[in-house]
Amino acid sequence: MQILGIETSCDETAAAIVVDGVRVRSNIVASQTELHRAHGGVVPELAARQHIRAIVPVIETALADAGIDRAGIDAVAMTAGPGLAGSLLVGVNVAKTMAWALDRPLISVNHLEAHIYANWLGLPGEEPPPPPRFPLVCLLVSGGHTELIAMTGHGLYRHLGRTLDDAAGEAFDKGARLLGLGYPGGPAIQRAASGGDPERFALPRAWLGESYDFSFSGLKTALLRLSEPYRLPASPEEPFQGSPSGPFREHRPVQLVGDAPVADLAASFQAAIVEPLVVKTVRAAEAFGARTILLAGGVAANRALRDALTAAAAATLGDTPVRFPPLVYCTDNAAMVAGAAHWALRRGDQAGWEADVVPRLALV
Amino acid sequence: MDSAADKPLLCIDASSEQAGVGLFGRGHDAELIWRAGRAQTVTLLAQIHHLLELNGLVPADLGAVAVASGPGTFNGLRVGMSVAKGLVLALDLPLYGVDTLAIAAAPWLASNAPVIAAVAAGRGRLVWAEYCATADDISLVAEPRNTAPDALVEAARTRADRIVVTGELDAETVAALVTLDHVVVPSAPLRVRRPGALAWLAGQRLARGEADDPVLLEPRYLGR
Ligand SMILES: [Zn+2]
Repeated sequence: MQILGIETSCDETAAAIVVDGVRVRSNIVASQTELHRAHGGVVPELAARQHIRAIVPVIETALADAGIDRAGIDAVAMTAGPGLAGSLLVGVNVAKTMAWALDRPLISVNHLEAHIYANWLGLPGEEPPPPPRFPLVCLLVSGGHTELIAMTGHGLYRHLGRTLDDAAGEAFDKGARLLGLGYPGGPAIQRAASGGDPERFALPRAWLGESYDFSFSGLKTALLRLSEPYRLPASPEEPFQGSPSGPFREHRPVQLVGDAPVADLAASFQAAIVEPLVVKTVRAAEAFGARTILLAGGVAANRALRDALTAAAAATLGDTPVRFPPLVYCTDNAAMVAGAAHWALRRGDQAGWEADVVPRLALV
Repeated sequence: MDSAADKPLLCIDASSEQAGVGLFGRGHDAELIWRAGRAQTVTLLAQIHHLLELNGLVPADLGAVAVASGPGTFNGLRVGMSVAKGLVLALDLPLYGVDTLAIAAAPWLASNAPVIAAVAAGRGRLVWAEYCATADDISLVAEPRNTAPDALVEAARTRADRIVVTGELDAETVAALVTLDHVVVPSAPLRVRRPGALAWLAGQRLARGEADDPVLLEPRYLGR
């Protein structure tokens, strides 16, 4: 079963061909990061316009890379949500129309589920990894989401916790902006933190009692206070504007003085994001008797998070494996969409021609 | 492969909350028009499916795709454009983008008066432009503007000659326009954009061999 997956939920236009949910034949991602960099975050209208431009060449390249033509597509899958409405509708309408015109099944995929199923994918030309064993606990962390999910079988999810304010990736973006490190924030903080002392600055962790929920907004405020003395006066007055309020407003970057302890600030900030994620994930895995711990989402690319979670799981749970997808399947891509669609189609989950975008779609 | 001329043209217009699809050529002359509101994603492909079924056709029977390329509401335009591009990707059909205001203006050009056509751009704004008839096509007199409705009324008021104003106009704007002796405003059902007009305009482009590149074709946004 060769599935064409299409993903346009945020700022990547992506298409992929995946066989049987595990073998990636092609995986094309047209990133818009450069387009949004000047604005310090994703500008929804710009993202939607770029999807319209990129979608045809991205899909054509995915087919060409996989060495198949249209007739070789057995089913078409698209991300229906969550995401930006104007962006989602490009992928959803192209996918629906292709499935209709080719007379193939259509599968509507939840973006969060797709991120989880990235853990089933093998790199092109490689054997797929052994399938993760159920029950499992998955920490899904990205620019838009921070969710702790238990999974007892294919398509069977239980919500454990989520962020009450900023997503982990969003916290990285805001932290990077405060430290003048640029966008996207996750890789920028990770780079700056290398060699830094994560214990030099005491930043708060929001434990929220026994719950599996997260909160990162206090952390951002604390970093603002810590970094303020090092900021050059030309900095913007309101550094916390998440995304620019005017659709095309330029973002003015923060600049810190030359001798600011950027490495220690970045390392301390990163540690304050990572610690609650790790502690709660391991606690959940223990409580639910998980046989696998999965990391998923763009922030799963963060080395400090991978290392800390692996170490904590080994110390507390012994031989419960911690798995994370190859880097290319952590950030938004369409291979994960085509992958998740395979399991959905096996359950008989098929969408009709009236399928809609669902910008606030939840997993459970 | 059959040439496009042997098969009917599918027309798609989701430029605003009023949407339409049509099937023309090779013995077909069918159209569906409905109020899509902001649910173009839900209804557009379902209506295309319905239209083909009514006419006993399957997707592979189509010969070309024409799409209203704006101006209009941004997301509506993107839905129409995405469906058109999906058809091109799946069926390898020639693609024709057609100006949305020209679609609204086309039926009235036979009156030999200039025509101002408007499309609702959301939030109470109108995008409008003036057209006049040429021998076998229509031509734009001045670039489209995105304004509040009263700027359109003012533009019509200052004209000395007879002029037709059509397209998506609210009741208040119509009331202001009909007080002007030289302005002709067709009644509401006659102001609806028709896929048939889209088909006619696409036909002019087809005859000139002006197909669009599906990679490069994108909506004409015309924000304020
Ligand atoms: Zn994502």
